[in-house]
Amino acid sequence: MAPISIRLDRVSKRFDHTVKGEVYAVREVSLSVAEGELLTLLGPSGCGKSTTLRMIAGFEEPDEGMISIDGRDVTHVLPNQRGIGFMFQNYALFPHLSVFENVAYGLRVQGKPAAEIARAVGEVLELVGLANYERQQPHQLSGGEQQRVALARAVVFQPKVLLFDEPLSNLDAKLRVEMREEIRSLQKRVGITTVYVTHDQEEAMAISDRIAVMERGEVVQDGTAQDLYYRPASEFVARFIGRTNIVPARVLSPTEVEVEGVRIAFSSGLAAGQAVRLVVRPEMIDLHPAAAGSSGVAEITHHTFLGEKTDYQAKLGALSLQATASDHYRKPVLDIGQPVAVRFHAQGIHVLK
Amino acid sequence: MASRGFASEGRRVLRDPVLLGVIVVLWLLLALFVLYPLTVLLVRAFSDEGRLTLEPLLGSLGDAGHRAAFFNSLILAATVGVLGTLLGFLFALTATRTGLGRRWLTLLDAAALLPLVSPPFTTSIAIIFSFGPRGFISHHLLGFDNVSAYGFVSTALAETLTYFPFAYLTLRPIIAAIDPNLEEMAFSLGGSRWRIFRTVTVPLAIPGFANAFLLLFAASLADFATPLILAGNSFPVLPTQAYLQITGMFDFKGGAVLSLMLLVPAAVVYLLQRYWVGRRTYVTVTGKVGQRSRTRAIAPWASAALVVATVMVAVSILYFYALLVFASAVVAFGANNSFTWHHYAVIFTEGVPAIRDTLIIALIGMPLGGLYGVLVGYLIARRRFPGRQAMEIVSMINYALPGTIVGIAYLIAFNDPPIALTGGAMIIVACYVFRYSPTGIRATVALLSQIDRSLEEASSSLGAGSGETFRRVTLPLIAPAFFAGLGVVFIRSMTAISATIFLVSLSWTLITVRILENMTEMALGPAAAFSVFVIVVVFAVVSVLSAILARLRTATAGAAARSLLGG
Amino acid sequence: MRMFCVALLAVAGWLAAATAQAADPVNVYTIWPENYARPMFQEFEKTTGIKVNFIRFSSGEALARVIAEKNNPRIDVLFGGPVETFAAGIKEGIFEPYKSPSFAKLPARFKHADGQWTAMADDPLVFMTNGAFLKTKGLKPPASWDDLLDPAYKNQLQMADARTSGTAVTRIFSVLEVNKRDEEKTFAYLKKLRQNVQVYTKSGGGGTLPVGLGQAGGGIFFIVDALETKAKGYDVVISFPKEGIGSAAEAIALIKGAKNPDAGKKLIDFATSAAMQSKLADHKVNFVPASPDVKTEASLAEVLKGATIFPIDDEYAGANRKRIVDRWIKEVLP
Repeated sequence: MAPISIRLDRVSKRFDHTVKGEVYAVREVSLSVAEGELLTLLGPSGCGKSTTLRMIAGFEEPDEGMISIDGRDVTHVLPNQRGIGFMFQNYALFPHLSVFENVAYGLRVQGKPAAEIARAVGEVLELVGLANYERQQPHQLSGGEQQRVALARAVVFQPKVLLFDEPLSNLDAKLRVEMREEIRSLQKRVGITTVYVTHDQEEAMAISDRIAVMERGEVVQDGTAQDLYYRPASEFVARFIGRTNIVPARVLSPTEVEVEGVRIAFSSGLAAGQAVRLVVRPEMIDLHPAAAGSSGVAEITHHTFLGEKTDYQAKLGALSLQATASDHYRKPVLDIGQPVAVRFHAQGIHVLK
Repeated sequence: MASRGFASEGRRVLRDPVLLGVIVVLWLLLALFVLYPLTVLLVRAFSDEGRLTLEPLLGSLGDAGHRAAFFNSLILAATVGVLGTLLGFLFALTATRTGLGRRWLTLLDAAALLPLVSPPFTTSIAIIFSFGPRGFISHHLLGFDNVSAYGFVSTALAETLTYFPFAYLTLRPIIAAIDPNLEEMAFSLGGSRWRIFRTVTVPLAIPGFANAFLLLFAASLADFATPLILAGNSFPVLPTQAYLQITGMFDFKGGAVLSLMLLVPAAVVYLLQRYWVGRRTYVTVTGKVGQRSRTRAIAPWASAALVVATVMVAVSILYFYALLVFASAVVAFGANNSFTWHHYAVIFTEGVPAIRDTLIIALIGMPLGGLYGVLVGYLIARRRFPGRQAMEIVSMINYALPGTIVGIAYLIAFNDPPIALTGGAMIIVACYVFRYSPTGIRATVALLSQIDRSLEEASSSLGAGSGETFRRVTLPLIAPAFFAGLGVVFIRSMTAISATIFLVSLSWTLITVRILENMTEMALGPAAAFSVFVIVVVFAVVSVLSAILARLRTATAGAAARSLLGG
Repeated sequence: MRMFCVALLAVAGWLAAATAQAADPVNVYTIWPENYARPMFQEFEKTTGIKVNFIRFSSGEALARVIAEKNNPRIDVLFGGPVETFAAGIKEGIFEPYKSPSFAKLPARFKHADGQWTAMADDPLVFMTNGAFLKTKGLKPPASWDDLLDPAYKNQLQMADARTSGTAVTRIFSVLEVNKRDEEKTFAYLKKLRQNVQVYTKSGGGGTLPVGLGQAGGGIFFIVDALETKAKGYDVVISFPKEGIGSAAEAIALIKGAKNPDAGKKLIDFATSAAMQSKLADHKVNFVPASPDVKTEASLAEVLKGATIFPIDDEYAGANRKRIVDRWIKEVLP
């Protein structure tokens, strides 16, 4: 494991709220990011992810707790003395400066010689694919190009840490996918420690080494994309990452559970008779045409053919299940109202605690 | 909670030596040039042989005449505030939304700025000459025989015409900065033009309206020159009463008390404005720059109506000034209308010391005032530090106070050691800087409310300290406000009189004081010639400022910046 | 910011240097308008070689400044202005008694007994009307105080405001004298006169130009201002009321704590003597000289011929000024 680059130790930030009085925007958040790692803070708007990022940057000061970067306590250090690159949601390009001057800004502040600045800016613009844009003004650029300039500006002075605050939310869907790939590959090449904030779980999964999910100011789970997907710590995480069925089940024995009359061989290690809730992803449910009326038979209530896959909704007793099938090139799409047998894939199922 | 916020704000400031230094220096200056003189004046007003007494205040409140003056002042200020803001909005809309050519715009700006760059008596005198019993318009054109040019209507008219450029200067960059795309978007959603105007353009300009109204209200509240000449005796207002109390009745106490009555409405309007604007911030200038489109949000007929209305107002203003130029070039206005250069010969011989002193003072005050304005505006709008609101209020005091009071307060406070400044130019410069920079402060605040904070945060994250961020990013972006502030300080240095009439001295005198002298000496010719000279100089300087601003090529406020001062 | 501080310091230093003065001039606030005062000071400079630094203020402003500067006087001499201004100054203790060589020769009404002030000239009030106005209304120049109550003058008179102007105070005391100091009759008259007043002006001469231009039909002014208006070419007529009209002495005084008392005394010596007052006529300054050694200039004497002019008793005026003016503000002005 690489050495820790950024560490947050029980960091809290409170705000005054006109109605509720003092409220926590961020509450006792502890995180660590290893050198070269890309950590994403993921959560719905208002969960405190941006505030956390801004505290790492130094734009906000924590009320409690400690933040360190490369072993140095920066809790009360001004942003300009932290050596961080920050990417803003609106890019925050200086409208009165050319592309070259925007990118050169950090180097000028450091008082670097002109020749070195010209070389470094040239290199980094090359890196983001804007080699011939030096003389342009920001307002002459497209959104994607402005994004790249902002990125170039943030990395040109080789900061220890790169912070992204929802940088892609102003781009169209196609560009968003392109840019996140680019950011990811650039980050890997430069090997810079990065914290990335987004509310888009797909973006988070695509780009991150590790994801910390936040809810109401607290980190509720911190792990790889697969950890979060297959082993969500809470219903919130399960629902936030991907589509999911939260299925109430009864433990029949330590190796078997039952859902609406369907028995599943599943070693939960729990005592018989206990009621549990299971996280079952749509792709872990198989639906097969079956005779109506028998136990464990559901009825298709909705289907959406999407080409590579088909999404179904099926009613199983009191439950409405989401299921996905991706093999319709070899078997027909199920009709609405059709009775189907439901099979759960036990390997993927996760018991919510 | 407050104490925790206070402590953490304080800690943060302490770690930022540049910020701390600026705050400390500004507070020292504010203490010296705002709080100290005011305190000295108040002590003088309310001390009776060493003990404090409220008697003068109570006596004043009980006086029916003073109460009438108080309400008259409010009525006048509100009228001027509303009319002036509307007129400024009319000009700003015409300038930004009707697609007039640059040349027309320059003309329009010139007409709008004339009242702003004139000595305070000129509009009043022109109104009397035009609308008095023998007025050119009222008598010679319309044939009325016995019209009174004195009273509420003419005072409100003169003040509106004199001060509406404040509203224009405040509103124009804001309307220009409202992305026409927003209006376009509303238009594309199927809104009628009027509806869009009502629901998009006007609400977006609300911070501007509030600022403009505040500026006009305060300006009218503190103006003594116009009511002195036009209000007559049936419509007394507080500043004139305070002035007369001091200069006529030698009653410092009474004058100070009257000015205190004036402070109350000024403070109330100020707080209202804060509350009103404070809840509505519209960030329309961000680091992300959208494509600008020519707006179609105003109907062609409305465009035409705007242009016609604006041109009519502009023509009336130009007529007033034509009258002034005429008076400067005839032997004796109204009696002997033959042409002469004599009055100009007089001002360029006997008037030279006044001209020289005025220019020196204005040129020193200009950069100091501009810088002070953006610094305070920036600190107020962008920085969190203990005493921020106090600084905002203190910085407005000298502006809100009638000039007479400021002048007398300076005179008393700075006449004796330890801080003896009277007799010098410094005291006049300080008076102008602290009295007339609030325009720059408000302009800075208004502009900053349209510039996203992330620009400064970006600079900070790139390693720039607060001083460097201010210099490299904030200052270029608020350059329009800086130059507006600078321009206003220069203009007022050339044209103001109410405070500085007490501060001129044997060694340093001012053109405006000479103009007043000439008027009391009935030397209307030299008075008019001096006025024309002031207007020409101010226009020249303002043009240079505009040229500098144009060269800055600030993309943020783009056109707004360039044309802010009428270029 | 550092730049700002440096600039401020530089400016302060430069200003300190700039305000340093040459040796021993005499510093003066003049209440006489500059075009009257300047030639007198030039004569003084010619005679004595002492430079006069001066600036002009209206009487109220000048007095307010001198009072404010009491602890650190900036001037040596207060020059010109009606005597009631000086009476107010004595109450504030701003003058240094000084008796010039001419002092003894002057009649009592032209000097303060202790030498707090000395008169340079006398300045009678007059009625001034616009010639064209009289013609169109078919009026004769007013020859009585009651003529001014004629409804033809409704909204046509301009005269000075008693709150600021010594001219106005002199006018009110004139009416008092005409009415044998009967205050009820006086105020009854003043209230009637109010009906015809268009506006009360800040300064004594403020209404002369409007009258000259026909903006107003007429008013009550000091003779210097009236004659100046006439000399400028405006069509105005000067007349006097048969009941008589008051005259104010124009005074000069030494300031207590003056930095250049000797130069100041020299100016007072000059101003109260025939040396200066004989030059008044040369410069078309139509004050009536106070010094018995100077003859009133012929054309001025011609204007004054037949006019009934009485001095305002400065003791009576000084004692009652505040009360009378306050009553005027309360009862007449609104």
